Amino acid sequence: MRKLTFLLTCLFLVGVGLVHAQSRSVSGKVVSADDGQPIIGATIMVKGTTNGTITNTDGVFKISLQGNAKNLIVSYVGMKTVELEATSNMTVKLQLDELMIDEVVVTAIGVSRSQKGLSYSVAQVKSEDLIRGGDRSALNSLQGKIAGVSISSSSGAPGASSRVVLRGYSSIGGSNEPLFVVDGVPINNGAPGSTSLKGSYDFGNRINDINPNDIASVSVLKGASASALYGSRAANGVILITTKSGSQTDKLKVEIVSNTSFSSPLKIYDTQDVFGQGWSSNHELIENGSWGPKMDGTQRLWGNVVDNQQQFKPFAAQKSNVLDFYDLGQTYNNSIAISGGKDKATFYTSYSNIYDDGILPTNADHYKRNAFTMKGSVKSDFITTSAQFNYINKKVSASQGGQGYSVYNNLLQIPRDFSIVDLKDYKSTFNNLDNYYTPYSVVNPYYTLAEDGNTINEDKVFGNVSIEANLLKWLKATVKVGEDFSNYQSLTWRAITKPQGFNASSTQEPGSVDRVTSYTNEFNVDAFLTFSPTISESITMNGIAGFNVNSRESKTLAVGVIGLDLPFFYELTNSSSTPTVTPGYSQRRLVGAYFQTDVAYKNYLFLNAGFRNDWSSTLPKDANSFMYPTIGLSFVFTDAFPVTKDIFSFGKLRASYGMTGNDPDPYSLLSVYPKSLITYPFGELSFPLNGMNAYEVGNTIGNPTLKPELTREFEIGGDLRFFNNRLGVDVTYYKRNTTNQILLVPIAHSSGYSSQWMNLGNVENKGLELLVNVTPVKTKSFEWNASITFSNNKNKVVELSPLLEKVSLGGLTTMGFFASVGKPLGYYEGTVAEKDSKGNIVVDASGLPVASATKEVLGYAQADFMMGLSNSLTYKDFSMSFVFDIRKGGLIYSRTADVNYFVGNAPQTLYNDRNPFIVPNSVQKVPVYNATGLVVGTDYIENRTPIAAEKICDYWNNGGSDMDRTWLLDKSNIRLRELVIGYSLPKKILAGKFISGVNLSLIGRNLLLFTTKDNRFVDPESSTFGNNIAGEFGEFSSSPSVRNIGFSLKVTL
Amino acid sequence: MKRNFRFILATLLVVHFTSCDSFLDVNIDKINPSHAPYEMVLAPAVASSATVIGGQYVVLGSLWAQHFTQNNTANQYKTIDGYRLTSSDFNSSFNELYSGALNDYQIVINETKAAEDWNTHLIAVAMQCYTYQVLVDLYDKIPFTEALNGTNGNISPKYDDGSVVYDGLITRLNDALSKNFTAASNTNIGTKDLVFGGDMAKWIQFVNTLKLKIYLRQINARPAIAQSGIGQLYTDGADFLTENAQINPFLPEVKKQNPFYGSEVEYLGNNNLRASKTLFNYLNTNSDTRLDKIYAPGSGGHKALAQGDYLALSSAYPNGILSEGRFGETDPVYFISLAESNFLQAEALVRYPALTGNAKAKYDAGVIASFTRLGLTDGLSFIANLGSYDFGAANTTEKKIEAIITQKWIASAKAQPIEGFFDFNRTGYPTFFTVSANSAIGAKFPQRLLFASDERSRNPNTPEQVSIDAKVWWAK
Repeated sequence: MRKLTFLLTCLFLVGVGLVHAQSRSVSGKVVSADDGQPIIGATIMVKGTTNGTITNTDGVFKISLQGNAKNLIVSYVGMKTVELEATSNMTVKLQLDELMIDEVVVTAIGVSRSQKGLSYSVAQVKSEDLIRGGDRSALNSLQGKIAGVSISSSSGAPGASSRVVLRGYSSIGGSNEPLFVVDGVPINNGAPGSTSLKGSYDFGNRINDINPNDIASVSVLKGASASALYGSRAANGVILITTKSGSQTDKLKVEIVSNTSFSSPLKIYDTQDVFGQGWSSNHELIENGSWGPKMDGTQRLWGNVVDNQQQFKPFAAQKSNVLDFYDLGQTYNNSIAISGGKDKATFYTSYSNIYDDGILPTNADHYKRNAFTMKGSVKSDFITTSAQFNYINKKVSASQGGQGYSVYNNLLQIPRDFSIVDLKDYKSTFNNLDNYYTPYSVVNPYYTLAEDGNTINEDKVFGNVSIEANLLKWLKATVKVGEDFSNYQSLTWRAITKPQGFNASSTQEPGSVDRVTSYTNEFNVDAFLTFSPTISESITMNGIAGFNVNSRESKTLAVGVIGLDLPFFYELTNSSSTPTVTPGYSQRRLVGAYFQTDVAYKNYLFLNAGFRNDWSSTLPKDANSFMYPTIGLSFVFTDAFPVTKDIFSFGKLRASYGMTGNDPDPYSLLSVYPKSLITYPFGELSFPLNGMNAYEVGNTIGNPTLKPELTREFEIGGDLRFFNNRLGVDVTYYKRNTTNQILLVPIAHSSGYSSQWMNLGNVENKGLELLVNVTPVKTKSFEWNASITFSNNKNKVVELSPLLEKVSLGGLTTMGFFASVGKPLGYYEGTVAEKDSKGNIVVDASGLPVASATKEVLGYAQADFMMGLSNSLTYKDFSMSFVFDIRKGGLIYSRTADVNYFVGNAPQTLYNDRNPFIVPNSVQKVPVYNATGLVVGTDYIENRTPIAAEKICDYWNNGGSDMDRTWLLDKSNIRLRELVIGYSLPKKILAGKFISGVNLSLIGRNLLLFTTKDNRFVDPESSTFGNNIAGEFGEFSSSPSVRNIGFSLKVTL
Repeated sequence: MKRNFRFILATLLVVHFTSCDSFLDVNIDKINPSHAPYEMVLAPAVASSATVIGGQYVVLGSLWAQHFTQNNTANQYKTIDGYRLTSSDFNSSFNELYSGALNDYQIVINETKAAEDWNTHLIAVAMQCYTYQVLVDLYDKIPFTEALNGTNGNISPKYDDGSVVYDGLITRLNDALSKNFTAASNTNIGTKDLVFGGDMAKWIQFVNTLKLKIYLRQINARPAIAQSGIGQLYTDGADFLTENAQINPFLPEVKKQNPFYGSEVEYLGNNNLRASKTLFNYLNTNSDTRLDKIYAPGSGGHKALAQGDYLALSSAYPNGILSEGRFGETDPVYFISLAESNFLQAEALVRYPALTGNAKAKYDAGVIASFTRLGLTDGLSFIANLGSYDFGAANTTEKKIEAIITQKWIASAKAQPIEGFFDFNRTGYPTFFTVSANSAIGAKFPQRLLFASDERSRNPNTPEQVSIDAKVWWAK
C-alpha cells in the first residue's frame, strides 16, 4: 500500500474530451522511465484545452492538436506529470513520483481504481511483501501485514490450513470465511479434513495451495461497501488475488526461486521434572502419569513383566524427552516462472514444487505440491482475449490429533522419567502393543505413528477465459468465464489395536479404513460493461454494469469399513463388515446483476454508488431476490484547499455505507427423511438391519420462508500523509450489523424435532483500524521503512430470539462454547468450584473443592486488539525486514493443558511441592440444627482439612480451585512472524551478463513466540476445530506449531 | 457500421443472462427423500427405542438395580453409581427417544390412521406407549398431551403429570385395540416388524402385558384403578406374552451391534461395569448357576465390589480382578421379556386372589424363562420343593410378592435391568439393596432422573428441577 505502483493490465478510466474540430494528429507511446514498460491508461491532454485521450493497452496514444496548440501534458497516477512539445512518434518517459500517493488498487469485479477516489478502505499487499518470507502459503504470508485481518494457522503440521477472518465474526451459524476471488473468478477454499475428537486431521485449505510466487497482489475488501458488488457472497469480505502476467517488454524474463528451510517445534508444553511415574503418590508401573514419588535417580524396575523379565532404568527426569521425539522438519520449495510479451501478446508460465516433511519422525507428516500455471493474452484494436489455466496437485499425509490413539495424545501421557525415543522399536518385547507399560487406553506413540495414517491426493484445476471488446472510446464490454474444479481422494486408516495377554489394555480397536472421493466445481460467468463517459471538465464519471452467473456443485462419496482382518493391510477389501457408504451432494446457483458508478468533481470529491441484486437458488422461489446497495463519499481536501504539500502532503476523508448478504445453505427450506442412522453416546446403529432399509423422520424442521443474512456496514475514515509522505496515517472506524442470522435453532426434542432453520438475531462488529507508515531514514544508500497496523474489533451479539438463551458454537460437552446476547461470539462455559456467599471455595471432607451445580461463564475467545509491526531496512545491496505480530486478549481451550494437569506433567502441579495443603480461602459446609435437632439450613465454617498427598492428583485432575477455567489459556502473544536478511548482487556486476538479478536471503518464520505466564502449553493460534467460529474454541491435542529457518535464492534471467 | 455491431453484441450478452427461473430451480435434496412410506419409518423408530432402552438405560438400570457397580480402576459411571447426576446426564437418551422414536411412531400413527391400516397402527401405538411409560417412570412428568407437535408450531410442549400420562396411555392402547383388524385396508408389514414379524396376535399380547404393567405400577398411588384395570383384563380373557418381546437384528460388527455392547464393550472396553455384591452375593449364596452367565470371572476367579465403592484402592482391588459382565455383540434388546410377563401375571394373581389363575405356575414359568434365556436348563431344581427359590416357602401374600419381585429383579439383569430399579421403588424389594458407598444423597436411594438439560434450556415449560431422591408419583 505504501509504495507507488504501476498499473497492471487493467484499465483505469479517466474522463477525456471527445475530439471534434479539424486538427493535426500526433501519435506516441508512454513508457515508464524505470523499466521501459508501456503505461496503459496514461492521460494525455493538450495544454490549454479540454482535449485529451488515454493510452491504449500498448501505451500508445494518438491525439489531435488544434490551431497553434503544441504542448502536451502527460500524466498518470503515481508518476510525475510532464509537459512537453508534441512530435510525431514521440516516446514519453514518466518518472515515478514519490510524492504522489494516488495508488491504484484492485477492487470488486477486478476493476482497478484509484485509491484516492475510494470511499472505503481497501488494503493491498504486493508480491514483494508477500513472498519475502518464503512461506508456501499466501495467506500465512499476509499475517501481521493488514489491519483488521486475522489469519491464524491451525498447527505446525505440513500443509495445515489457515483461518482468515476480516473485521471479526459476523455469522453465528453460517460461514465466516471471506470470498476468495482469483483474477475475477471465485475460487473454492474448501479444507478437507476431520475435526473429530477421536482423530482430527487437516489437509489444508485450497487457497493455500496457490503458489505465492505467481501472485502479483492481494487486495482485501474488508467492509460491506467495498464488497457489495459480490452481494450475497460478500458478508465476510472478499480477498482478491491478482496473478502475475507477462509484460510487453519484448524480452523473455525467467525467475527462479529456491527456498530451503528447516523446522522445529516452536512451542512444546513445559513439564515438571520432579515427580515420576505413578498415581496418588505411589510409584505404580502401569500408570500413564507422573503422580508418583519424587524422582531420586535410583535404578528402578519399570514397565511390565514379560516372560519373567522386567526392565531397569534410573528413576530420573528425562528433561527433553518430548522434544527429543521430534525430528528436524525439512521444506524444499522451488519454482520457476517464464514470462514475456511483445506488442500484441503476453504470456506467463510457471511451475513450482514443494516438499515439506514435518517434525514428526518418519514422513507420516508431509505436504507435496506441484503447481503449474499458464496465462496469455492477445489483443487487437478492438478485442483483447486472455486465458489462464492453473493445475495444482497436492499430496498430504497427516498424523491425526485428538484423544484416543493419536501420536500427540500418547506423548502427553508418558511419565516424566521415561525416555520416549527408546520406545521407538514398537515391535520389541517390552514396547509392543501387548506389553506397553500402561493398560489405560494409550499405546506406544511410535505404533500409532507407523500404523495409522491419513492421506489425500487432490487435483485442482482452475482458470478463465476472457474477452474484452472496446465498443467505444469510453465503453468496453467484457465477458469472463471461469471454472474451478477440485477433485480428491482421501484414505484414512486405523490399525487393528487389540493387545493380547496378561499385560494388555482392555481397549480394543478393530481397525478401520475410510476412503472419500470428492468433486467440487464452481462455474462463474461475468459479463459487464465498463464506461467512462465525459460529462464536463470538472465532473468525470466511470462505472461498471454487469451480470453474474454462478453455479457451485459438490459430490462426495465416503466408504468405510470398521473391523479389519489382515493386520497391517489397509484397504476396503480387508473386512468382513458391511461397508458404510455415505453419498453427499450439494448444488447451488446464483444470478446477480450489478451496477456501480464513481462520479468525481474536480478530482477531489468522489461519489461512489452502486448495487447488486441477487437471485439465489437456496432461497424460496417466490422470494429469492435481494438487493444490496452501497454508497460512499471521498473528499481529498488537500486537493480542494491550498496546503503546503511538503508538510501536509495528502489528506482525504471518506465515508460509506453498504449492504451484503449470506445465503442459506442448500436444502434448508424443506424437511426430509434421511437414511436411518441412530447415534448413541458411544456408537451408532445404522440401517440396513435385518436386510431392511429404513428412513427416519428428519429431526430438522425446514423453513420455507428463509431469508438471507443481511449485513449493513457503515465506515468512516481518513488517509493523512505528512512530510512528503514520510509519515502516513490511515484510520478507519466501522460498525457492522448482521441481522436475519440463519440459524439451525435447537428446539426441545419433546416437540419431536431437534432443530429448525430460522432467521433471527443481530451480531455487531465495530472497531478501529489503523495503519501508520513511517520512513524514519531515507538516504541514497540507506532506507528504513516501518509500518504499524492496529485493529480492535469489538464483537457483540446484540439480539437473539426469545427462543434462544444461547447458541452453541461448538466446544465440548464439558467446556461449552456459546453465543448469547450482550456477549461477544464465543464465550466459554464450564465447571467452577462452589462458593459461599463471601466467595470462599467450598471443599468436601477430603479438602477438595466441590464442583458447583451450575456451570459458569469462564471467559471469551476473541482478542481485544491485534497489532502488526513491519520494518524493512535497506543498505546498499543489503536488506533486512521483520514482522512482529501481536495479539492481546482472548482465551483458548487447551486439551494439552488439560491432559498435562491430569497426568501430573504440568509444572503448575508442583504447587507446595505436592505436600498436603489447605485450599486457600476454603470453607466446609455444615448443617445448622434447630433446638429440636432438625436440620434447618447450612452454614460454612473455615476449612482446616488439608488435601492429603495422595489426593493432590484429584485436586489437579479437576483443574485445582479454578476447575475448568484452568484449561483456558490467555491467547495474548507476541510473535516474531518473519525475519529476512537479504543480499542482492550489485547491478553493475551483472551488467551485460546473462543473469540480471541474484538475491540471497536468510529467512526465519515464527522465530520467537512470547506467551503469557499461564500458557506454558501451546501456541495460542492452534486449533483443531476447523476454519469457522468453532475453530476459535481452541485445540484438542493439536500438533505443535513450528519455527522455520532457511534460505532463499532468487535468480532472475 | 462497426459501432452498431458492437452494440448488438453487448445487448445480446445482457439478454442472454436475464432469464433464470429454471436455472435456479435446483434446491432439491438429492440424498434424502422428502418422504418415505410409514413401514420404512417404523423399524428405525423401534430401533431408536431399543438403542436407548437397550443401551444407556441398561447402564442406568444395571447400576441402580445393583446388578453391577462402577469399577474402581475406571471412571465412566461414577456420577450414576454415586447418585450425583447432573441434568446433562441422559440428556441424549431423552432426546433420542422423543425425536428419534416417539415422533417417528407418531408419523406412522398419523399415516396408518389415514390409511386405516390398523395392524401397523397398533404396532406403532404399542411401541409409542411402551416408550412413553419408560420415560414417565424415569422423569415422573413428561411432555405428553402437547408433545410431538413441532411442525404445527408448538416447540415448547407442557409437561403432564405421571397419572395423566398413564391414563392417556391406557386410552390410546384401548383405542388402537378397538379398530377393525379385518378391514381390507389393513396390511401386514411382515419382517419390517422387527419385534414379531407382523404377528398381530403377539402384538395384542404385548399390549395386554403392557397394560398389566401399567396397572400394577399404580398399586400404591391409585390402588382402585390398578385393581379394576387388571380385573377388566382378566374378565376380557386377555392373552399375555408367551415369548420375549425383543429385537435382534444385530450383527457382530460396529454400527450393527447390540447398542449396549457397542457403547460399553466396543467403545469403552468393558472397563466400567463390575459385579455388584448385591446381586452377586445373592446368587452366590443360592449357588445360582445364572451367576456365571451374568458375570465373567476376573483374573483370580469371581469377585464383586460393594455397590458404589468405586473409590476402593487398587491395592485392595487390582485392575482386572473383579468379575465383569458377559455382554454379547448380538444379544437381543428386550422390551418385555417372557420372564417379566410371567412375573407380572404372578404378581397380579397374588395381589388379587379373585382373579382366575395359578400364581405359582406363573412364578415358576418366570424363573424358568430367566434360566432359559441365559442358556441354562437347570432352573427347575431351584424352584422345586425346598429349592432355593421354592414359591411354596412364601407363606404370606407379602412374602409371595417379595419372592416374585426378587426373582423378577434377577431376571431383569442383562435384559431390562431398569425394571428392577422401578420395582424396587414400587415395592421395596429386594430388601437387601445397599446405598452406594459414595452416595451424594446420603442414606437414600435414587428415585428418578433429573429433567434433561436440553429440555431445560429449550423448553420454558420444563418444571423446576427435582432432586433424584424425590419419589415419583407411583413410588412406595
